[in-house]
Amino acid sequence: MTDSPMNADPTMRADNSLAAEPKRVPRAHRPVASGLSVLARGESFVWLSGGMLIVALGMIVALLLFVLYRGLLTFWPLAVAIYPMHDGGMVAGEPQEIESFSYEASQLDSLSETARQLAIQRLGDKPIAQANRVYLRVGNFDLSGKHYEYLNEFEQSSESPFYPSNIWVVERLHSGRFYGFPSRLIEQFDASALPATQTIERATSLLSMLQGYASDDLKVSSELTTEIANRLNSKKDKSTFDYLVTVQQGTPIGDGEYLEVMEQDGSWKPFESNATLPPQANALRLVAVTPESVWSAFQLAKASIAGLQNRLDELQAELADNDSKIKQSRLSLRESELQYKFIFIDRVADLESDWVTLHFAETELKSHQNTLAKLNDLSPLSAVEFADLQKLYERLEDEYRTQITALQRDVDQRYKIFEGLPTECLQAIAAHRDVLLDRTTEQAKINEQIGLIELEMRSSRIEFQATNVDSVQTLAPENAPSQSSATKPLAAATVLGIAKQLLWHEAESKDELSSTSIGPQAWWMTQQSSNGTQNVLVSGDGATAQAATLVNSEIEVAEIVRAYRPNQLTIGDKFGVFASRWVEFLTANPREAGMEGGFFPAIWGTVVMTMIMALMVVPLGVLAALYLREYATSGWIVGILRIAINNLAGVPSVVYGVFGLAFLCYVVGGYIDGGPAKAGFVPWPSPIWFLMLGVIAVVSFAAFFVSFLCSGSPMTMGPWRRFGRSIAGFIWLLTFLGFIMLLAKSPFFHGFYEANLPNPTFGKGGLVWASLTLALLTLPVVIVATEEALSAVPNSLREGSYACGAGKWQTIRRIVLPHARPGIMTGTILAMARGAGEVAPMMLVGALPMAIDLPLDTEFPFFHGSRSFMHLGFQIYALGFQGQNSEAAKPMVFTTTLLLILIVLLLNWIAIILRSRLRRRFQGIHF
Amino acid sequence: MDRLKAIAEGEEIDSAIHDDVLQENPILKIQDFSLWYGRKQALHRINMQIPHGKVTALIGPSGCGKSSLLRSVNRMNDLLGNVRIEGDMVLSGDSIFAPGVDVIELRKRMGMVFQKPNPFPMSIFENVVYPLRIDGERNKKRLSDVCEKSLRGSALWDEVKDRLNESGLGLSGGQQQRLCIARAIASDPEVLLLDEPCSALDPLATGKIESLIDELRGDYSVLIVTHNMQQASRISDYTAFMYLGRLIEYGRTSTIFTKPKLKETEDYITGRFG
Repeated sequence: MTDSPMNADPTMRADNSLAAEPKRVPRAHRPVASGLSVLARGESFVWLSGGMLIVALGMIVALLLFVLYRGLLTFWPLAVAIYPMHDGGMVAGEPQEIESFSYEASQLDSLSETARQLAIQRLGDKPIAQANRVYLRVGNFDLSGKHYEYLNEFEQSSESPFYPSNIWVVERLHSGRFYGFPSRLIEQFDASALPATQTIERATSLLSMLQGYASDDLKVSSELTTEIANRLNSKKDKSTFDYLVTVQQGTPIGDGEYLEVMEQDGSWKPFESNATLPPQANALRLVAVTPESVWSAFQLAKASIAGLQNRLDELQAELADNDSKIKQSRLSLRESELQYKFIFIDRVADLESDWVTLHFAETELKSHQNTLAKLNDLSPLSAVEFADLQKLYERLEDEYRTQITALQRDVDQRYKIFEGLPTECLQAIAAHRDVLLDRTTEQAKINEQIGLIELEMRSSRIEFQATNVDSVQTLAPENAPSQSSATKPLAAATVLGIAKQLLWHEAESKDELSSTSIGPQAWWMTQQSSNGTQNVLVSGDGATAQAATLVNSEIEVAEIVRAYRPNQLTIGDKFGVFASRWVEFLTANPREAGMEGGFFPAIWGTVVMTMIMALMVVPLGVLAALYLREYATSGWIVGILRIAINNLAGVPSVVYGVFGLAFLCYVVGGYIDGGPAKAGFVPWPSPIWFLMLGVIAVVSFAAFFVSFLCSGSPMTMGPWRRFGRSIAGFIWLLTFLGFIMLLAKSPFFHGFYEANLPNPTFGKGGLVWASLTLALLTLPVVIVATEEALSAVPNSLREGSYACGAGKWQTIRRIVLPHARPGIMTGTILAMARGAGEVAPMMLVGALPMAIDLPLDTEFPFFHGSRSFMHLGFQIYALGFQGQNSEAAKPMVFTTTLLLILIVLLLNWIAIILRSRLRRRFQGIHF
Repeated sequence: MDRLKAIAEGEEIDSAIHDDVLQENPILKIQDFSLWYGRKQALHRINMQIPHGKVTALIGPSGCGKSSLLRSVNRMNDLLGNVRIEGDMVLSGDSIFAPGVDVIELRKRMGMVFQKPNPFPMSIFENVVYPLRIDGERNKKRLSDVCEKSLRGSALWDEVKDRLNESGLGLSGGQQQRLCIARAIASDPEVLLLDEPCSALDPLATGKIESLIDELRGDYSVLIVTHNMQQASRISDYTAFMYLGRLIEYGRTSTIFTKPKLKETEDYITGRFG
């Protein structure tokens, strides 16, 4: 080695080094280009690489924090503010954020006059200016048609927003959130659901039917039925009255509550709770008026309605079950139609309604008879009256029977068309008829109960006063004192006085006016006039005063999912609301196209789909990897296979989706539904099919024979037998393909769900196909992970096992697989995490934005693989970018994203725990 | 050194086999056995008789084919692709390499212990009874009898009898190797093959294994490969010296180590080459 002397000039150095060759020069520092030293030592690269790491981590953390913040914010109860506007209106809502925006002169046309002038002032000579705006959740969709609104600073009046304490946030079953002041809660006690009242109702309707048969030849007075009906009505009044008295005595009247009674003319009058009810009282209601009493009455009503709701849900489930049984029966009818190749289902369908009529004819007559018999109990009839009624009734029955007989004859006539059918078909038709009649009877019973419960649920409602963006009735602002004349701040009393003046100016007569303070410089005023009551919000900062009328809105308590008073919540209450919203989100069904309510079906759908995917992909992937690693002799074919598998992992997932739809859904699913024809294959005629069956039998025998001949250890095997083994493999492949062809071209198979066609069962997107598609998608992950785990199993263990006389499979099962299990597990979990978050293929193979029916539930047969399902990842896309109101769905999108991230993290966490547990078992294997 | 030179040039040579070996009752006869890894010939026409109930040691420098020969006895070489053989071995009258021999049945008749202890990742009990488990034995009584007998046979019983259900991986290296011996003798093999069983152990553990082998003598026919000449002289009844795939000399251990017939053997034993 030559050491060059220090020299900056490279050419000189070259000469020197040649010249210096023979004599040893003392070792000197090697020359380094100036400025290179810092780079060469690498300190700057520490900073560069560390900085890149920080940038990468920072982006990920920022993403997670952003999703976390927005996702958690969605359910956090914000305070509700009321913003006074320049045009005199007031807008209530939850301010989400205040943001800055820029505007041009051309964008100001939609603003009100005052606001535009302010905006133009701000612009001055500049083309563009900056301004602030509030993003406000205004709710009250049914009134305004909006969920959110931007309020820019020009539209807001100079007064600051105020936070009234008794405003409510109401989450409703329909139309989203509602913001308003509750003015009263009304709970009506209705006697119409009482059994006694209902019997009288039935009797009255029977009497009116009988009325039609009163004629001279029967010698029955035409007044008879009217008279009895009147008598019954007084009975009804009596029973209603009795009921109301019981209610009145049992109703505790709290502070701020009172009873009202309905007079005969339909008007409501206040009623002292300890006084006696007037006998003509029709209905009674409890009214709560003060903010506190409305709140407590609401809590009570909500609790009682929750119980009713449970019962209603049960009944509705029963009803659905009933319907599905009828559908099932039609399906089995269609099956027998297909089986016996006779067409009769349309004629059966024609008959169905008549069968029901005929079936209920007797029941109806019997119920009339019962009512008639009970008439005497309700109001005693004289013997003559009873006999007369009897006569009328006989007429009715006669006529009814004539009609029924005619219908029966007609039905019998139409039924004759079935006579040529085989007995099995006739039996099927009779069975269907029985099911139909049974189920219809059941349905009527359930519907009756549902009607009663719904009646009861609708009895409580709350009247609200709401601000309304679009239809504010403003008080004439020109009557307010001008700004110039009131430069100094006015006292609160003065503002009120101005407002009173304004209101009086508006009202025709000087009616009573009451006011309550609801915030600094804000008042609630109630104006009683001949036109009724009008509520007004008044606010003023001393310089101006403005008042906005409020809109009445009535909400049934049963419609309310959750209500709270946002400006009175303590931090604990806020957490309560937050938690209850999360619970709802995790356990309930979605409402309003997924913008409100829960996401349980999506969570469940995602989890079930991922689990089934894992069940499919693990055996497939592990077996494939076992073959590659343990059985296949490594060579170029295995090498190519391995590269191909690794590349499969990089194929865009939507391609798998297309494959899933085109092959799994349409071909395989179509085949399951309706046989080869539905899957797009032309079946062979049966002789050709049998011929092919014979050919394949011969081929498979040949394959069996060749592989039998060429069996044995490869060590003692000659070249001919090695060749024979390859041949055998090839023939086995042929046999397999031939078998698939036989299935695909079978003229005998017509599908498992032929009766349901043309509606596809498996021939469309569904849970199994989605799981299978994802299983294909994640297969490379599992194969690669398993192969790695298998190759990490020490060979000495395999040898030890073989030396004990274990076979290949015994060694794999008892030694290799248990040892590779942690690695296989890791691969599986990675696959699951990837599969759970995959969206693109889901759009094609079965995820829907709304599918309440769960793919795995408590209904027989529990697993419904053909059902469409909801999926969290797909939901993010559908809700945020495909919905009708994506702006309103934005908070929900963030929450869903958060949930999806949490599920994936949870899966990974479980995987890590499991893996480390398994690993601990194999500690000490390496020393 | 002519003989060694001839071997290095690929010539066939005759082995010097002492008469006293031939007088023993053989359990395993190796007949004209040759083995190739691909094109490379690793064993050249080996002829040997392994006496019944005795300990036979295979010695020789690295790469001389001792392990290949040992692993051919229970056909572990089948697991490698690209191996070809000629000749045959006969175990108690049954050919080992004849076509149609069931390799798995064959291996069940032998036990093997490897260089590095390789207990399976399961309990001590399951490790020992593994050969019975794979034969489908379910009788608890018989399994625990065999377990005790084997562990006693491998002098491990007293150390592990209270923790049979603990993992076999928790034992020390020497204990693990004795566990492997217990596993190897659990199925009562005709031949016990030991492939340098002490090379990964410390001297104390080596001593224990050696005394164990000493105890196994008589009950089992042991074929042991070792690098350690002292070990061979201490424990074996017969010693075979191999070099470059040939059997050079084979005879009673005392004879081989004191007055071998060939100079090459003496040179190797005294450490002059190898």
